[in-house]
Amino acid sequence: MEELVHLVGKLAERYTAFESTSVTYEKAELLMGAVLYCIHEAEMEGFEGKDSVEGKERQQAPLVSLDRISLQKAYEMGVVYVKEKAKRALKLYNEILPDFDCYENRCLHHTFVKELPEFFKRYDVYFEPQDTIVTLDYPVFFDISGYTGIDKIYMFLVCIDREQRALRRIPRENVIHILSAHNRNYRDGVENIHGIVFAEKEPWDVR
Amino acid sequence: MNKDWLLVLQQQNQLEKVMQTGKITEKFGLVLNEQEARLILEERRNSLQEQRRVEFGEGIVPKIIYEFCDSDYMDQNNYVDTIIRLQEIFYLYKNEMEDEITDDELLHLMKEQFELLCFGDLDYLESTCLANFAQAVRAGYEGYQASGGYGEYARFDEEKRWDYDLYLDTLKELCWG
Repeated sequence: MEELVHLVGKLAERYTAFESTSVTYEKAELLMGAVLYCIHEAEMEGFEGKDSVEGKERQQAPLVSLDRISLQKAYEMGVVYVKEKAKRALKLYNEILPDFDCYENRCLHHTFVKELPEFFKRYDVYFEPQDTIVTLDYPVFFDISGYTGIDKIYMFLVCIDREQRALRRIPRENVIHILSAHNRNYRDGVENIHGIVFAEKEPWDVR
Repeated sequence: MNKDWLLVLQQQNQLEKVMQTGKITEKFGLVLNEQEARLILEERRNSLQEQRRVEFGEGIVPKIIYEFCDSDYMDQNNYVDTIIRLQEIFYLYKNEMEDEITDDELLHLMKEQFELLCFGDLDYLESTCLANFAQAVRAGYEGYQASGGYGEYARFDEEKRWDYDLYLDTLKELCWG
């Protein structure tokens, strides 16, 4: 506990640019959240298939054991992993964007085209990596409710990438037709398009 | 995670740092014994809890002592009580100014107001002078940043104060009806 608190103290000094000797309880708790998030990222980052939906589902034991390294080291590693994941997420976003099609659904358009750039503009790797910032209203077909921060954004992008690739295999007018037949107001709806088109009832069971 | 870790952060040993201030303050006739230093630090803990703040690093007490030790309104009789009040006021106004102001800027501002506007009156410092300034900071005022908090003490002073014309008018009224 003391090592953890020491890390939070050091982070608070950086947060205040060494110009304040105290912060509010709320800010201290946020900074503790930041430290824990990065340490958790260091614990989890090493397992195989870490970036895939399936990898998350059959998550193995962490390769980084906190018994073998100090919390300071784990935290520093975690910060690096968070930064790298943010870069990977942005790269994936830019890869999806050129061919992205919202199929006239406003929720999907707003979430992908408007909200996600805001995330990348405002994401704070050091002091609030656990903050997801945006609401991600569009429901992807994999349950990402348990994730926060860059983890959630990255999983969201992986899901969108998979959905978009699958939907592109079907002519666009067919997709629109299926969606309209399902609900003529689908354009204003908040439903997963992939699920409607492929009429899947269960989350992906991809081998 | 429960809140106990906040207490761990608070418990850093600052007694030695506070006692060391005596090397500088003794030339102003101000000295703290260990019991008094412990009292100040205990009150610091209470103030921090009341203001829902957590302190890290070396803490603010030594800085308060160094800033105010040459005050015209502090002597050995009121030294401990004044430091305790000043630290209460400090944490209060860090919150009131929403952490927009640095420790040094606030201390410099407090010292100038204490000396030049409040003439040593801590209640006046807390309830009027700093309150006016905090309102300005919350509204977006940032002028103190360039000066480090110096020379700002009267900027938002709304009180009518003595000046030569007012003094003359009052004197005429008293002496000549």
